[in-house]
Amino acid sequence: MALPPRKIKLAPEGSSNYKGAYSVVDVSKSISSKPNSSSTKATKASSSSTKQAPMTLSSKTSKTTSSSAQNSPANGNPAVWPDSLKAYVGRCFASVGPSQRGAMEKNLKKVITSAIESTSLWAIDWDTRELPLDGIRAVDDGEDMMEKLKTDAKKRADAKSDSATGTVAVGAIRTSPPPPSSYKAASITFTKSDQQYSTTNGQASSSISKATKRSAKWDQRSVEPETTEDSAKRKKTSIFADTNYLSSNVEQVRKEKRLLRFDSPSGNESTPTPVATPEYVSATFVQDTEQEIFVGRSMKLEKKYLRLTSAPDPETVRPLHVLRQTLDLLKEKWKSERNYAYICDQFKSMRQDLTVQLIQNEFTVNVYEIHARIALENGDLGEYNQCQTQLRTLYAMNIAGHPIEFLAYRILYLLHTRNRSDMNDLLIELTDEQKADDAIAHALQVREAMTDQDYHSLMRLYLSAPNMGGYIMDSFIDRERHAALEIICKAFRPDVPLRFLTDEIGFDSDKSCYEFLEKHALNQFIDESSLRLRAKDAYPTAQNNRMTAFKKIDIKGQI
Amino acid sequence: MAAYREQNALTQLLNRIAERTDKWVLPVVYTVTQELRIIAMEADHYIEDRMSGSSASNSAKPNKLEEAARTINRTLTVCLNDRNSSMQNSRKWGVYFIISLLFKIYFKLGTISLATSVVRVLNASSAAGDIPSVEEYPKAHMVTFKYYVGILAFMDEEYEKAEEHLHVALNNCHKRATRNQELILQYLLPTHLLLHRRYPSKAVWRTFPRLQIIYEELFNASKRGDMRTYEAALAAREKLFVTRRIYLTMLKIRTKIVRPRLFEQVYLASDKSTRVPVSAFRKGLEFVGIDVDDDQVECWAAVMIYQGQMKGYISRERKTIVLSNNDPFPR
Repeated sequence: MALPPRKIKLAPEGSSNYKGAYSVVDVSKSISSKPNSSSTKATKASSSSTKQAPMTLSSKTSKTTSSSAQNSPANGNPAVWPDSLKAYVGRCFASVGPSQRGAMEKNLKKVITSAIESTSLWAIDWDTRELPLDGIRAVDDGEDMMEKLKTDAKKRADAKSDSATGTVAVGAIRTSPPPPSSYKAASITFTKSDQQYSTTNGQASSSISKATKRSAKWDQRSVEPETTEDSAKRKKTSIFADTNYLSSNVEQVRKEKRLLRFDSPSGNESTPTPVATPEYVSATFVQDTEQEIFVGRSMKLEKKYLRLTSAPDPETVRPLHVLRQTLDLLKEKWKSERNYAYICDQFKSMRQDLTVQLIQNEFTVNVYEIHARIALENGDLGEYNQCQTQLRTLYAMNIAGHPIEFLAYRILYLLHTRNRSDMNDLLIELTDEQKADDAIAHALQVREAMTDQDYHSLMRLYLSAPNMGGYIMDSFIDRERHAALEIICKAFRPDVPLRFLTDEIGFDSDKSCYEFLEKHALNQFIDESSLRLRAKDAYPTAQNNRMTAFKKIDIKGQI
Repeated sequence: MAAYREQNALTQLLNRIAERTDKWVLPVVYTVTQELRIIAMEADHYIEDRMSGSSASNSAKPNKLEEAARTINRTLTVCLNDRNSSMQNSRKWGVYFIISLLFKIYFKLGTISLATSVVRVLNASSAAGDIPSVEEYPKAHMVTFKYYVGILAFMDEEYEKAEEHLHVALNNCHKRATRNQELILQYLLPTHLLLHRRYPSKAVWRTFPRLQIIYEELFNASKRGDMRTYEAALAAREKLFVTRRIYLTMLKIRTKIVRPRLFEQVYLASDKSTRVPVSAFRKGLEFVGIDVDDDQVECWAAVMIYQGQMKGYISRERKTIVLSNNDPFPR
């Protein structure tokens, strides 16, 4: 009996018939609109019980026996429920967000089913019983949990994606989001306690105390006189609930966070604070009207990119107003630190957050444009191309940005990948107005110079590329240099000065030109005294260089 | 609109029926799919008209043709995947007709990449010997098919391939189908010029007056190396060439054909001297309105030498282009 109570509920999932009888929507509505109803009024009994929660396991055991002696009139007849159980169930629901009610349902169901099966329904001291919080977020809840968790993982993910809508509903109705500072505080608390919970069973007592703290807080808002009407309702609730609900430790943490968010500073539910930051409203409230819109709740500015393999978790997704701050932060960081690996990673996670929340506005365009530019600056064409592709769709939706600038980049990019049919398509769509733009005119001239193998013009265009076009040209300029060298070696006799080569293959100094030649084994044909390249001798090598340079290009332009 | 819906449904039904039949069903398939394409285009026109009539909302663009293309693409699969052992009665005999129809739609929609992917599918199955070679099909099927494949190669600047396909198309084209011949020649003429510097005869211009309007001036200018006229004529036809995806090729002709002719003119003007100063070429360019420096001239000359349009070498030291004694501008 000295087992942590959580373990008891590992029971067969036989009697799960009430699923959905008590819909999530109903719950959230009743919570938010009528503070007195259902789970919130989880009640008097619980308020007293939570105070006892920190008691040790042994004392609990003794109490269990005593209570069983007291009130087991029904003797295993599940139609009659102990009051303490009803209170317990109410407490369980109150401890989770609307999002995770489904999960809680399941947990509770197990707990109670096992209680019935062991005919300990009246024996267990429900007042002191710990809430069945595992299975929802508790990841390291003990080794014996691991198997179960694996199967639960998917359910959990489902529950989480639900939670987005649920939370939004609550927030929207109350219209009382706290100032961002309290968000932040909440998320910090969360992280901390999360760590606590991810410890093992051995530390159960510490978790319990933690849980108590939380319940105490939760309690603050839910201490309310119970009306007879309510109690009737509650009875109903618990009947349904007994087979239906489950929860997890961490879920309680979630709850706490939510409380911090939505409760007025006084902690009293009945006095909502209607102060809403405009951003918040636009991000959540407005979108609430559309179903299935996902809004994150993470308040952390920075986040590592991780490719999503399941439904996104709103706790780790940042809403629009946070992302705006993130962008400012990243811009600062990029200016000061210039750590591309970090910046790229951060931008990817930002793009992911935008995508999962279906945010497509000027801010999105801005993020993609900045990321594209930074990627270009660092020669990361693969990343650039991803941004470019997205930008095309966004521009097509007539979202303001810099479509012309990026159209010019796209032309240059197509030159890099040598995608001729796409280039043809693009030319067809070009308007006269676009052609008149400097950047696009430049890109088109580059195209012409390249197909004509006109290295002289090409190198001049390279050195005078507008915006960040030079960075894209960087990616193919070496290739073209090899082509130019081959032509020069073929056409000029007997030799050409290094000076001339520097100009014609687009280097800014003889030194860098020489280094290039050296790297590609052409310096051996340079006469050291006169600094002239013996064209005829160099030709085979130049030809070879060109052939290798033109071989390795795949469609995406990634190296 | 309703007509389109019905026709699309009919085609889809037919697709399913055709799965269980063999060659006899093909004429039905041909008629139905062909009509689907036409009705889909009508439907798109209709939607477009109605949209421009009302407020210009950016809601759904007319996409019935795209939808039709998807249906017809399924028809293609049905034809390709005939497991019937006897080739004689196979639905595979419908493949080229359907593909040509798809090409027509894809070109209209401007989704060339889809056309290339269809070709890839086809190449895969013909390489596996699953379908008879295109020559065994009815000539009409073959001509249309070769025409489009030729254009695809043309657009990818694979001119040798384009020439080959277009030749087959032209040679098998019906004598009286002048419109079709004209379409084929529209691509074949510049290909010929670019590859072999071969010009069409006067008879061609007489038979195809439309082609004469498009090309004659340009071709004559290119023959003379008259860059100025060529540029002007090209600019006047830019829109047309761009939409037909010929523009890039015409630019290629400018550098590969017209410019060497211009250089040749300079060479002839300097009494076929084998040593022509770079400045002389520069002045020649200047004469036709192209104002560039000596380095640019050298670059152009270098490219010509490299590509074999001019024989000789450039002496950087003496600022002179030394031309070969023997036929410096080979045909």
